[in-house]
Amino acid sequence: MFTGWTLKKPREGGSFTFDARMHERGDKKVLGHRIKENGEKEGLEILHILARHPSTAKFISTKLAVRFVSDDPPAALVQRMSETFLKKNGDIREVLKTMLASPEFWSSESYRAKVKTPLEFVVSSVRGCGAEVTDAAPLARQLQNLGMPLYGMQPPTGYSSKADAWVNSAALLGRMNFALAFSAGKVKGIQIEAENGPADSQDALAMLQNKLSLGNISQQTHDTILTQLQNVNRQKASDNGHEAQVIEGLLLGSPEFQRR
Amino acid sequence: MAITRRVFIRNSGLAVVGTAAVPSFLTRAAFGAPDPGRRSKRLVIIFQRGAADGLNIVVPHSEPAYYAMRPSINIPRTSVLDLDGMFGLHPALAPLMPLWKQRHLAMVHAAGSPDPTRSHFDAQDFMESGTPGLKTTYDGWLNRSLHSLPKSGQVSAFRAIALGPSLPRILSGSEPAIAVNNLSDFGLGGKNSPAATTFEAMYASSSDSILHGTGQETFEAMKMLKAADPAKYKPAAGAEYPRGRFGDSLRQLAQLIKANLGVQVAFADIGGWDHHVNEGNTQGQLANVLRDFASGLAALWIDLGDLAEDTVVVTMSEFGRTARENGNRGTDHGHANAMFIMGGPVKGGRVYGHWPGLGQSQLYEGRDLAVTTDFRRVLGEAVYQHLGNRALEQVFPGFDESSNGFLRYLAEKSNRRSCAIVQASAASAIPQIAKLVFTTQAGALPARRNTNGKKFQQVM
Repeated sequence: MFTGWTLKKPREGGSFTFDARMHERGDKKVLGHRIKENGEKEGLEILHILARHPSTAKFISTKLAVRFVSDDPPAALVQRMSETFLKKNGDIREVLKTMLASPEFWSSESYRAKVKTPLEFVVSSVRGCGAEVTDAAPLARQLQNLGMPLYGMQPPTGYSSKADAWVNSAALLGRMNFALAFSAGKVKGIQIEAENGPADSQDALAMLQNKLSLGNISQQTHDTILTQLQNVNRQKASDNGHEAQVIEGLLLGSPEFQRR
Repeated sequence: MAITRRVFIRNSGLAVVGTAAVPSFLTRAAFGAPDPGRRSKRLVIIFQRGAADGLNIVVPHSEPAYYAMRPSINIPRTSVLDLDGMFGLHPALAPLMPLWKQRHLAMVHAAGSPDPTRSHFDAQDFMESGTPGLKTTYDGWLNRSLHSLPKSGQVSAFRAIALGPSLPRILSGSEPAIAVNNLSDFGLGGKNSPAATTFEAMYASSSDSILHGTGQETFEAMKMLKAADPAKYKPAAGAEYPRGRFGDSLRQLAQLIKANLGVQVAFADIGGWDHHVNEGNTQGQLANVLRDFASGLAALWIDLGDLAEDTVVVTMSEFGRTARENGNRGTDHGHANAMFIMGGPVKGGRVYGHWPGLGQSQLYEGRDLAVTTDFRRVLGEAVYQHLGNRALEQVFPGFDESSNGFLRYLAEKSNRRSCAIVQASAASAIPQIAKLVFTTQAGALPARRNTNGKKFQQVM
């Protein structure tokens, strides 16, 4: 069916062309459908069959639900999304509407159910801290260290958005080290405005927590950060800027910040 | 902060409390004590990235066709280190000869992937995923090889390690695996950083279903490594690792194994094999990288000492190189290759496999050494026999060979490192034995069809 589909001068950036001489003649049978000999249109016909196949609807709906809801999304939700996909001719906007309107999407089980991929972690760190990126290459290198080189996934399936692919000792250590280096201004190509935050540690922590959209961090995380701040403050005359840096680093490396 | 050393306790029967103040004699005892239970088996995979020239590494010096096809880059019969009258090693592999003579080293010739690709990228991918021809496989076979192995309680963070900057495809997957580029960097925020303590407390008390456990494993691994004190490591006497990345990788690997950190599978790679131009013969580009390769493996063997008993090392490369040299005194992308197998349980001193021959009609697509042993058959035996993983269909899905197809290069029970006197007497008898074995192995195999549908011919 796709024989004869090719590129005009691919090395010169050429576009699609159909070469009838390379096309295999005769009728073909695919997924139980008989495809009549029809030149270039055979390929289009099979693409339509694939697009309308229930497995396609389920596959794409599952991908979306895994991306936006949880690593193991409720089957009923995927089912309803698949139905929308088939009914609305694969309109992704409609499928997303079904997902966004579902009780499963808003359930407490789905709240921060996803662990960030390294890319999401790095990008959310940069955005959360309001950092200015003057050179993105050092950040891309950080991503490589975290096991997710930009556009570097070998299989065509792309990077996984599930936690098990990204949560392991070395990766976690990499994230904590990134958090410390980043907040201390040691990642090149990044400029972070010096914070003149509140003098009180409690207030500074609350402010940064809010800034990083962390919502409610656990009491334990909160307390351990304050304990360290007290120790640091005791050791050296503290300035607010340094304290904000320390808090930022600890928050970025906290279990809470690894979730979205 | 609760101090638990789950891995310590399991591995050594000794709990060590705290790390900073532990006297060195105590850590030595904890790490060096033999396992109370079953001895742990280790599998180490070495990847020669870039397609090593198997025909100039394990040289078929009895084949006139070899010399005819490689007029300027062949290894003369006078220079090869003869193995069995039929094959000989490249002279740069001299550091491996003692292992061959002690019968702890074997090779499989004409091994490789059934997939016909000549793309480095695709072929490496297939060798690592373990599913030739299938690009959608998400994980690597070395990761899957741990998947169905029985686990006792918590597993060590160092159970599956890759030496290098990032986790390679072969080890990616659902089993925890870590990449270690430099052991001294496996820490947090520099020396005595207060952040490390704070992070540890955060993760220890976190109720996060996923991050809590991984966090604890991470901090445990850091402490174990700290106690093993990688900066002060001295390899065993006589173990001289070559300078450079490969030597560093193997030295650190030996260090982790000897520190008793629970290493079960490990991966390291060595590049620089893609010699399209001026490959060289007894000297030159290939000889240089072979020296690194051989001295690294020999150093690892010496350094591991008694631990080599339970270690099997298998090498692989994505494909071999053309049987004929090209117009630039080099070789181009080919098909079958030679794999090395080293270790205590290896029935060494033999070249395994079925030699397809170098005659024009015997060459794959008229240009390359044909594959007569699927690389998964070689690796499968190590996984099945050595690691004890019986679920091969999960490790190599789609490869329908049973354990009956194994080359049986591993002893049923590990053969102890033989003593010097035995080595000396056995060495003289090896050429005949090796040849005999090779012939028997080849003869015992049913005629197989290669991907061209031609029957292999027995040439010996």
